[in-house]
Amino acid sequence: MIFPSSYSIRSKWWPPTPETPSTCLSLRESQLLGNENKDEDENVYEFIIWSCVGENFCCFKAKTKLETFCRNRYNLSGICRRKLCPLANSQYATVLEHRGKCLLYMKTIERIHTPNKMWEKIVLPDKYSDALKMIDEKLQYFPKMTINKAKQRLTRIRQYLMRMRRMKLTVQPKLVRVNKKVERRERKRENRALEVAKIEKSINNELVDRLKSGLYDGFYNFDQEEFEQMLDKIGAKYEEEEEEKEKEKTGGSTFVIDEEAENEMEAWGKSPKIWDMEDLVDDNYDKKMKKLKKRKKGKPKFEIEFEQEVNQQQQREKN
Amino acid sequence: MSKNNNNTYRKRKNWTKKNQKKEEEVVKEEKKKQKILRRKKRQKEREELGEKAPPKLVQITQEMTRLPDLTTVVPNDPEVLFSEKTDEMSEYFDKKKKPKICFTTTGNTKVRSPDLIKDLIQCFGNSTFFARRNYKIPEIVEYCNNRKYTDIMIISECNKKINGLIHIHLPIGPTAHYKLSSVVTRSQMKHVPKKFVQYRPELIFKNFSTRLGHTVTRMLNSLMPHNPQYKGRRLLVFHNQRDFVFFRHYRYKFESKEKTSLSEIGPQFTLKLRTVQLGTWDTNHGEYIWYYRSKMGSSRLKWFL
Repeated sequence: MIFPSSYSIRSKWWPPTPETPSTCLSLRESQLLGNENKDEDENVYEFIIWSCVGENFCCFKAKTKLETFCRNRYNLSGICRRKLCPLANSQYATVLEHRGKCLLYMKTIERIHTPNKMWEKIVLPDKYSDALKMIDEKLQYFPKMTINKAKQRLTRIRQYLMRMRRMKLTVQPKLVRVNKKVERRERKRENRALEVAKIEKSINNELVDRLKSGLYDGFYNFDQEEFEQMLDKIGAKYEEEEEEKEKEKTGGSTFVIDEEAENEMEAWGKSPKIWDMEDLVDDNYDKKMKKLKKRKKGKPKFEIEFEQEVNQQQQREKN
Repeated sequence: MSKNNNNTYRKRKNWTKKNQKKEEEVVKEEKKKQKILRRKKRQKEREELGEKAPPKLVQITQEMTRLPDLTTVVPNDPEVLFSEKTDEMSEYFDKKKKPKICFTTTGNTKVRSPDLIKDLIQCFGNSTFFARRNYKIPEIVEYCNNRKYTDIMIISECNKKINGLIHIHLPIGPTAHYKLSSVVTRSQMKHVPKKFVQYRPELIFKNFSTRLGHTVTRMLNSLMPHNPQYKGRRLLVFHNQRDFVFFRHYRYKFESKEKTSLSEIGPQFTLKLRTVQLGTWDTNHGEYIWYYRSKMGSSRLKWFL
């Protein structure tokens, strides 16, 4: 241990003689005076602690390449420094948060010897401005650094509490772990299930069942002979009707189609066309054909070009 | 010196691997031969004995040894029929409501989901895609209800792979959360026509045996338009096998009375049910009818659909 040169215990501390004026003030006195004589009035207690803790080992110290941090709960900002160390300062204050309420913790010299009752807790009011005023009031005789740091800490705490309250109202996305084993197992099972499923076979069976049950009654013809027979019947009907009409009327044979026959024609006659994919895909085939026909009837293409040339000639003449 | 040693070690290793493979192949061929011999024996015996021959050996599959489920649906169960009438989807089945679907994504993903969504919009008709602009799901539900949508499909994506699907049936209806896997979009498939006429498709649901499966089929059914047009010959298939639902989209053609040929159009993916909730999507206070726990997957023979 190295004492500063200005100290010599025997001369100044013990016993205090009435003749020699006590230049060394107690810490309380120096605080009340406003910390004017700093270097001389250092507290031994603090000095000893800092020399142990700050320079040698401290259980709350966390060293990194650039900074040393302090893990102590009561530290104002989490950095390990002489003036911010809650152990090496007998007069200290912090702001801590408990269940949404901000509390001011104060430590004074009078209570150092009773660590159980060392920290005095004061509940700060909910309003921000009132809380700041309270800090100013309570930490009146504390060094200015602690007051400022305490206020800064208060604002930070209040900000994160606001954010917490806002987040609770919304629904946050839940992050779920990806278990590799489970994923691997499920993939294997899926592949195996695909092999076993034989989807196309089952669909085939299902469709055949539906055919048999009679869902597609009007749409398909499988027996070519039956189809031709139907056509023959329909043809025979037309011939009969024509003969009748001819008998009735003298001239001008008209071609009449029976309503029933028309429906049958639709049912049986349309299906053979829709066998190819291409027909269904180009469902606008008929429309396209119509458009082409219209063009042929209407203006031929070369007329348009002629008009453009005329316009160009006119423009040249103007210029 | 060490390098040479390493090379020789590696060469030796590869040589042993090759030899192992060769041995395995030889063993396999032997097994096959023996199997064929056994089969021929059995066939001979059957011919000789005729009617008295022992019955054919049947392969024991997992489907045969499946653990029995209490909730398997028996046809014409009065309970099931009653629940069908009073279901959230009963309005669709009574033909009072036409399906109107809203597609979105989770987040503002743009990598893979638009392809799938395009295909799905072509599959199911009467649907629109909305970009998700940081709206929360309860808000989306509210807006869709105002515009009288019947379903919301939310496709989720992670690491450039399509991941999951949330199907919310409106207005109050149940939500189902699936895991999507092995997604093949139409752009990735070969020999697929760019456009096809959207006749109303037919549906096939296969192998849904339990009550859970029943509700899932009803939910998926409510996405499709009523009154399928048989002349269009378009098929949507949901085939359940071992709790994996395979979705396929086909064009079929009857070559004879007992044979069809299928050509695949449209996307292809597998669904695996994760959760089913009674109300709309609510993770905090929602009532879950069913959800998947990893311990459930420990027995291979227990399936829930």
